[in-house]
Amino acid sequence: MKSIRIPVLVFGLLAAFALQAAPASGSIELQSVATQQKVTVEKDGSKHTEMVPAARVVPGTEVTYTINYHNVGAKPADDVVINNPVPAHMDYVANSASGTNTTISYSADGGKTWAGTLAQLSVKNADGSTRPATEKDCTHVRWVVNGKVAPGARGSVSFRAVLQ
Amino acid sequence: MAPDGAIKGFQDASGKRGGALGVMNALHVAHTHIIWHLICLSVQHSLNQARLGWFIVNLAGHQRAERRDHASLARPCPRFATCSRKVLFGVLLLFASALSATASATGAAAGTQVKNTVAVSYVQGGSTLTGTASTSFVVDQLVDVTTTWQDAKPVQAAAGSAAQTLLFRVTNPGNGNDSYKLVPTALPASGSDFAVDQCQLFLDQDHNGIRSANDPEYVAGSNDPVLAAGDHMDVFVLCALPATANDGTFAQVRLAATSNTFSGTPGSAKPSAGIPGMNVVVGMSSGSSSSNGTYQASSVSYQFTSTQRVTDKSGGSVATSGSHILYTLIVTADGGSAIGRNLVVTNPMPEHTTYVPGSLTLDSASLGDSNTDSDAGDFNITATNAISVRLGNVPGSASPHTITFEVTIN
Repeated sequence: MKSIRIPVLVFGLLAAFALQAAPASGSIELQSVATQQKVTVEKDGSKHTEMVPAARVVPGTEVTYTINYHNVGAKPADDVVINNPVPAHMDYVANSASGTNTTISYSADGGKTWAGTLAQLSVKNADGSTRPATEKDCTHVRWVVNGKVAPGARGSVSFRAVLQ
Repeated sequence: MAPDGAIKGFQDASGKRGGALGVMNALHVAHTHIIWHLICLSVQHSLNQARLGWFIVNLAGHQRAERRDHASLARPCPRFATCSRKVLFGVLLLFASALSATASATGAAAGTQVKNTVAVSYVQGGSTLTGTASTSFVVDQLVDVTTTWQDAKPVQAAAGSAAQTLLFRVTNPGNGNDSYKLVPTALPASGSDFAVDQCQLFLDQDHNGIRSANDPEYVAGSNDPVLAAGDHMDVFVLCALPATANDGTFAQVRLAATSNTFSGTPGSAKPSAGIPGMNVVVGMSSGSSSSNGTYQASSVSYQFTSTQRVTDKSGGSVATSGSHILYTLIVTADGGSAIGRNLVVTNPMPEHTTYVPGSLTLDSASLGDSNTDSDAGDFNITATNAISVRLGNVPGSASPHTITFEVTIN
């Protein structure tokens, strides 16, 4: 009997590792979309603004990053956390992070520590003194989805960043 | 006090000036011939030119004094051209794009791929799972230029002087390489101001802020400065001031720089010739920038008058061997806006006379004859057989200085 149980346990453990090593078998689909504002001036002088894909971006432009998540599976997903490092050459736009039904936090030290506002985080000045972080210090934005994401449910979070 | 006044003193038969005529008579009697070198002015200055005046009084046997003023001198004093100038460096300007935040010159280079990668983690079926998603875009080239005039204040130069320098800086605040065409324009005069001309451009190729042999003359289309993102090139604009410029008035020169890559309405875009899939976009400068620099005509000149009083051994005023002559030199500034720097007045002893030691004074204060005594004057040290008095920097507004010394007639 004992000798039979051990292989079952080993099998179970192996299965768990396999699941963890194979994220594709989870059911949350993620999509990242980048858009930018385009302003068109008509012949009569009126302007209209639309969001277009950000394929080529001019320095100084704000890019809106929208992250869509969708539970395509049959089981609910719990503790859903979306973590978006601020891209290289870009600065986070203050107060631009949003997401219904989520709790948003920020990091200014590469994801080691997080706070609900950037001002609650500290950064070091050149002379060793510290000061509160600002949007230019933001390294990551994180959304914790409140509650479960039910099968078939979708959600969207977003933030803006400026191209340096 | 004009030189004329001094000459009148010599010619004044009434002898009011202590017997100038008496001197002449004595000379006539003595058949001597004295040539006066009244004042030879050496002026060293860095930023200003002084128009120098001197005159020679030639007392011949027959009471004829002739004077030559600045215009007709056969042998004028050396004129010092503008020497080294201080170069003042301005601040690199960063332009704020109307779109949003500052487009930093150290930001994303044109053609860079900017990738955003987002990660999700969640718990499902008792396990922690993760996923990622990405999106990328390419950074367009933003074309921009700024031109700034670097001198801290108007560059002062004398009317009629040539090759006076204004310093400009052309900067590429865009995010890609660019080259720029430069155009200088001497702006026309308005009101009492003047216009410069004969403007030439030189590029500060060796980046040391000083125009040297290594800095080539700019030829449009031939050596347009090529600048990487964030880089700059200093430009020397050399122009000539007309002789008619009134002291204290101004002239302006505009330097315009235009991108050779693209210029026009901000936001205009065209495909990049260099990087496929990328656009070149005109920034807020419209791809062109100009800045005005200012010259100010500034000069100072000095008038020198000299009088003499002869005292003979018996208390009279006969100029003969053994008589004393007291010379009084008055240096007056003309009110010009410049400052003549390091003004030194020297006066050689007239022929057949000997300096009376210790007789040198400046503004009623006695000056020692040696130059180890830390005062402004000396005899026979700065200049042989001459008194020298250092007046320092003398602005056009300065009050007159009076120098006296005595000689005995040999």
